Amino acid sequence: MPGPVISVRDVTRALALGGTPVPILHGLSFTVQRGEWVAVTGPSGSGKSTLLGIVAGLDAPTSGTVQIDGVEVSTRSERELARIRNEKVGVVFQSFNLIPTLTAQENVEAPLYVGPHRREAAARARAMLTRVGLADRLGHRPHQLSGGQQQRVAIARALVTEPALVVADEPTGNLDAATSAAVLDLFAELRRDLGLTLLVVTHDPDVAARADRVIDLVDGRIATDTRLAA
Amino acid sequence: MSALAFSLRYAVRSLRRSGQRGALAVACIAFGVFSLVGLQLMAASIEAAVLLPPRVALGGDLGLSRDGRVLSPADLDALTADPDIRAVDARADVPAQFIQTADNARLFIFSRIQAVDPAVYPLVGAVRMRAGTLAAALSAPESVVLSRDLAGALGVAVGDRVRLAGAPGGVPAVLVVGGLADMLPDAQGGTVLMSRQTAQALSGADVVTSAFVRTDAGARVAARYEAAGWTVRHPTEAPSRVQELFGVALPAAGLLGLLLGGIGVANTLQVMLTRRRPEVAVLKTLGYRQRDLLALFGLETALLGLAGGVLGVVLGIAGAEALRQIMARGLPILLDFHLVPSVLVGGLAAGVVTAVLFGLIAIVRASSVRPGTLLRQTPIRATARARLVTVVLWLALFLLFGGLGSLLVGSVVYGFGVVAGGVAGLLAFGALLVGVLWLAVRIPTPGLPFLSMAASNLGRHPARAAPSLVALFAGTFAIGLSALSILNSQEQVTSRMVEAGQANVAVYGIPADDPELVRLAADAGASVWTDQTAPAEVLRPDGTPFELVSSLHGRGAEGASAIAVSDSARGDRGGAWLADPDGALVPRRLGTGDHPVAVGDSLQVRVGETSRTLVVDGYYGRPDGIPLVPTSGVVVLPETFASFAPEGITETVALEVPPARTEALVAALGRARPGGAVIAASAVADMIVRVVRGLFWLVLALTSLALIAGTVLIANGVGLALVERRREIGVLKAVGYSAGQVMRVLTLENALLGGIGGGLGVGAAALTLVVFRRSAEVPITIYPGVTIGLVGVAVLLAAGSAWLVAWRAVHARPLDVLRAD
Repeated sequence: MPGPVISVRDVTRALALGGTPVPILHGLSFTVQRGEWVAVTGPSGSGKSTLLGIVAGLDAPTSGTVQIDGVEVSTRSERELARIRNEKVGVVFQSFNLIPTLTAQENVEAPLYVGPHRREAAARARAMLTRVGLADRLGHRPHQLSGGQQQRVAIARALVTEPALVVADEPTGNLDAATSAAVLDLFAELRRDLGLTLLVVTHDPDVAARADRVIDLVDGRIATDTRLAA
Repeated sequence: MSALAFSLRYAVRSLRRSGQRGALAVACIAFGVFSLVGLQLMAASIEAAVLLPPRVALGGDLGLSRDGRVLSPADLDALTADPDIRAVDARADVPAQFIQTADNARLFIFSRIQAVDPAVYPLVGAVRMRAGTLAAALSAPESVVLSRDLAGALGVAVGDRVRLAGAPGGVPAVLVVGGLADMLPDAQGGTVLMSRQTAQALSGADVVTSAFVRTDAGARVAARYEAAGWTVRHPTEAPSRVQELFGVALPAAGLLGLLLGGIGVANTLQVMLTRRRPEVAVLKTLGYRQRDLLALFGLETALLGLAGGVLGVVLGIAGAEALRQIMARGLPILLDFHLVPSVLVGGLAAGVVTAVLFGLIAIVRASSVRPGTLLRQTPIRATARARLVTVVLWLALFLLFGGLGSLLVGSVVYGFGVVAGGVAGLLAFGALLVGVLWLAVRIPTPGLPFLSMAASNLGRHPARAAPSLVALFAGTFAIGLSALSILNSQEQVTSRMVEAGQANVAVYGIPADDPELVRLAADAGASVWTDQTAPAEVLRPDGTPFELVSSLHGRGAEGASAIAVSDSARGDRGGAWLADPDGALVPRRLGTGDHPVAVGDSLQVRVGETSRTLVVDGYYGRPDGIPLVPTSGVVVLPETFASFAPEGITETVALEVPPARTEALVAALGRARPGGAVIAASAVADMIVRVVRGLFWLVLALTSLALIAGTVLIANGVGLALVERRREIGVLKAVGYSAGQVMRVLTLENALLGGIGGGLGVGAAALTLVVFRRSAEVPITIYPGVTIGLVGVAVLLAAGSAWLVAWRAVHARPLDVLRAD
């Protein structure tokens, strides 16, 4: 589909803390083009994760509009949003958030069973895990995997539905330097091979440095939006 | 792998991983299904025994008798020759008052002894023998068949000897147990059967008093025999109140048990799913819709319900059998175990559906909000749709329980009424108990910082403690009330039966001057007196008979202690006995009423062919305690009694034995004179106490369920609180609290709940007993050991379950807890 994968217009978000609405985001607007890797940086409390949640359809803005792959998501019902999350967005969390009772393959299959590819769920999951280098770990449970391997499973789960957009919240936050580098290499490789659009929230300058573009948030506002040299 | 297989695997693994919490949920469902199935099976057993087909209950198509008079051979011949009558079951009543073991150790009073013709008995229904046939068991002379429960109460087996005694004029008869009947047509538990030949050998005559007949022309036969002066009994339905009691009350109690179990499941699943909010958030992030989540968790709770249901059904079957055995000791009916497939399947289905509905209620709110809300771990505000779905689910639950209730009790109004009433009652009562808790936690506790912290924690969300408080209250109230009332009854029975200064041993079939009796009584330091009783007609001066005064007692002054003698005209007689051979003592009630009998009045007493005028010399009443030698007619001196030359005398030798020597005397007399019957008051008390204890265990078994439910609810409550208070616990530990100190606060919180729920329950039980007994003018004892012990049990259960649940969470390192948040 032509046009930007993410289109954010005048988005605000306030959270009710102790009964009083506290503004988190103040009228943000930006777009992300297909195949682009954008890093969102900023100090703690600047609204990075809130922004990511809204873009991924996990949360709703208080005002403003958000389009993902040309589909307006801010006014959708929870049921419609579920379909959008399943088909258009893949999410990678800092703490992996794998389902502890399921094997690596079953974790990757999980989103396929509520989407259009349920019949080939097992084959797709196997292929994706092989793609991220875990062909020999299909039957392992999360607690039997290292942190880096768990994050690879999470990435495979995010990609298995072939989403238009992958958002990642501090994807290397729980990993050591070498594993972090390996995960970032994997993102780069998948982006190159699959044409992924990536929105990555991070504190880490090394992670941000791998992106095409860095949006820096301060107090819920875009302080800078910088395109990095290739 | 299909989506269903994936969901199934997901559900199974989640359940396996749920550990303690999953086990609790299974326990809750098992508890509910156990109540439902167990009590329904019990109801089915009782119904089968009590609500007999009318013909079976009667013993034939018609019952024929002649006002209690003996049926003559001509009467029986006429019945047999009647062309409208296909078969005749003539039965003789054997007027023994009790049956005891040959060694006098055990006694059963409420027995029914019937002499039958085993060739025709029973005309309808069947006798199910433990082994062999009734005819074979009764074929030997002097053999009897005992019902299963009677044999159990006496502790006798086939081949053992038993003694029937207490028949007016009858000498105790020692008989052999020829067989055991596991079931009788009328399901009477205290039945002794013997052949008419054996009965004839005992009493010297074939004393047939009733005949049951099989006929196809019931109305015509009944009309003919009624016209001929016979008393005719027709098959009748069991009273509706009996039907209501067993057909409605027990299933309704089971339904409330399921409801309580369901609340436990809802509570447990709420804990389980609250802990799994991040997992729900991840699934939602992956695109799972509300209906996908409801299906996934619905399957999980269905499996939970299936596991709990199967366990509950198994426990229900075992429980029903245990209850049946307990009831066999307390009820005079033979209960058979009835395995009703529809009850088992229905119970299992009810368990699964209850678990699913309560599970869905627990998940519907979390499944309706956006994943961001769940990931932030902030309180969830239900969407309008979630609220609607919740209302629909509650409605479905109400319909399920109301429908179940309607099916169980056979009435839609009753069924839904029980459920609505149960829920309303639980809510109202829960509110009341929460009010008490709210007040209690506001009592200042200076100098007790941990207690103060515990009270403050309880005061934060007092309403959450409502289910636990209700269950603890209900459990301790029911157990307390039954324990206190039964202990009081037991004490009264025991103390009255062994009242000092009264006959505590009665002897039948051994004359008072028997040398062995005299020697053993003297050795034991016992005083001996004799009561002779004969049937008599007592008339007023105007010739009208006294109703309910139909016996004459001959008794010497030694027997004065068995009755309380007084004289209203001349004041207290000071224990003075009769002196005038023409004098008589009459029951005190004859001195009151419309036509009172005064001292000095004349009475006409007729025994057999002898009639004599006596003068009322005084009155007597019941002494304190339960008399072992009952006195109910006109009392005269032994020589006066002898002047009537009565026939059919019952002679009872009464002994007042020092209590410590009673047992030895009874045993020695039994050995020395095996043909006589020796009854100790303590054996009678023992029998009554055994029956009372049977009832106690039954009530205890039923009421303990509420206490168990309370413990489960507390464990869940603590689990839920720990999920919510992880951070608080982490902070407390971070600022220097030890795990032990945190545990102390948590344990104290729940000990307080146990103390309040248990204390109020036991207090209410004691108060109920005081009010009830005061209105009945009976002294009561509030046993401090029992009441304090019961409150202690409630405190221990509450604190113990909290301790078990909290242990692991509290011993986590504070950084792990805080980092997880």
